[in-house]
Amino acid sequence: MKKGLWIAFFFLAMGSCLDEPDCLDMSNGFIGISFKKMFDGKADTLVFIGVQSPESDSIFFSYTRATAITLPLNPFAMQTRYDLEGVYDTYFLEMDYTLITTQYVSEDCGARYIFSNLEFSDHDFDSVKVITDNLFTASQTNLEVYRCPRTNLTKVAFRQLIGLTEKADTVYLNNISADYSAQFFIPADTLSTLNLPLNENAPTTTFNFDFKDGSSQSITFSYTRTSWNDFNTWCGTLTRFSDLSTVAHDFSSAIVRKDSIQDPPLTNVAIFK
Amino acid sequence: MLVATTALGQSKNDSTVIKKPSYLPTGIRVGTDLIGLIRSQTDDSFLGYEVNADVDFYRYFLAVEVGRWERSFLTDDEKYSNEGNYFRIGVDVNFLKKDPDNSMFFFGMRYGSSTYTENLTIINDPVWGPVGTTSTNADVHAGWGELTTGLRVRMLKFFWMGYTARYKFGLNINEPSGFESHDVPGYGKADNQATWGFNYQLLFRIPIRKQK
Repeated sequence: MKKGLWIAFFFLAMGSCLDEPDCLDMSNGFIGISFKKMFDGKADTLVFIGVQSPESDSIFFSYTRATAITLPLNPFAMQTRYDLEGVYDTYFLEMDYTLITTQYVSEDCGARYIFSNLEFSDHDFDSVKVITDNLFTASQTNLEVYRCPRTNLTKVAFRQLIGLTEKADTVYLNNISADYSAQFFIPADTLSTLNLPLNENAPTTTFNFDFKDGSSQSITFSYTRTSWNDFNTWCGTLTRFSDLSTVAHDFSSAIVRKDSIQDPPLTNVAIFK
Repeated sequence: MLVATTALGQSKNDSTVIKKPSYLPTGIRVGTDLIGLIRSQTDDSFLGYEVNADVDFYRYFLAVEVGRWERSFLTDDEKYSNEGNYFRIGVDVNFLKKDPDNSMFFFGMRYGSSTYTENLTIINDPVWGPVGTTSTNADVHAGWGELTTGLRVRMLKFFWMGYTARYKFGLNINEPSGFESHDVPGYGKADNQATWGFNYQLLFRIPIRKQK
């Protein structure tokens, strides 16, 4: 009986010794960047086409809207560069740092890396504020990026009349172009609103819409441009747009609801297809 | 009646001869840890053995444990290896003084010491691609303390079985900067400031003096 208990105890003990490692991400090699609007200090939503480092094939935040992002430091180099390609702008950020220690964690987790001496060595953001150059394992903000006001985006809303009630309309867009070299962000094939960049170098801008049903329609806006120096230190002289009006279109109707440009854009024009 | 019994007991105690304990050792037990041997056969990442020995000085036992411990992990992204030797030395105190089989239930303490070398090769990083860097932690020394408890039971004339449960604490690693230890032979994961260990031992007792 006594020996039987010994054997049973042995198997229980064996089971307790085969411990599995905890899989915790213990690296501190992540940089938190939050995006802010310069004019009100509030969170700015950026639309990324992609964030890439020249040393990696990975594409971070591909076609993603974000007010903050976290990017890893390269533990196999003393500097990491990221190119942040947005819809309207492309920026770069370079960071220097020191890798203090490496430790193997487990088969599941791989190795962990501890960094220090973080320095934001170069960038071409409009303005930045270093919140902390300390690196922690927890999610944190190291850098706040402030964006200059985007003054030329007019927002159009596609609307429809059902009886006497006005409702949002959904359009199926193939392509959009302007009478100047402009960049557009079309979030989806089907949409109800769209931001259109006005030409800062001309008093009018014409946009051509190619719809999926094969039809094409256009609209031409006119506006007044004035210089704006409130953010001269960081942004230089900006162009403000006002007195927005439609001078030509082949839609059923196009009604100007707001004739000045806001950032983020508010609906300026209601278009009835 | 109660008074009579008490009086009789008192008379018997008065006649008992108290033997002076002998601190001369009566035998050496030498054995091995079965868990380490089985784990070496069943766990591809582990290879190790441990030799245990103790010698009695009345109810006190000088315990010495010597072992070797190798660990290796290979994935598509990393290759980690660790190999080293360790020893533990300490004292166990037996609390079963009058067991007819000389079985033993003990508490004790140990000092553990380990010398080992670690290698980590990063083959590929999920983000940064092929790397191929190797880091080495050579001749690292670690020390720690242990509180122990366990049993030793005589199964046959010279054959004993037993277990030792260990509470390991106070790990101190002397390592060069740049590479933190993952695993300390004889101790376990270096991240744990305190941890548990367990040995299941098979022991042979070599008598060197007749027990009185």
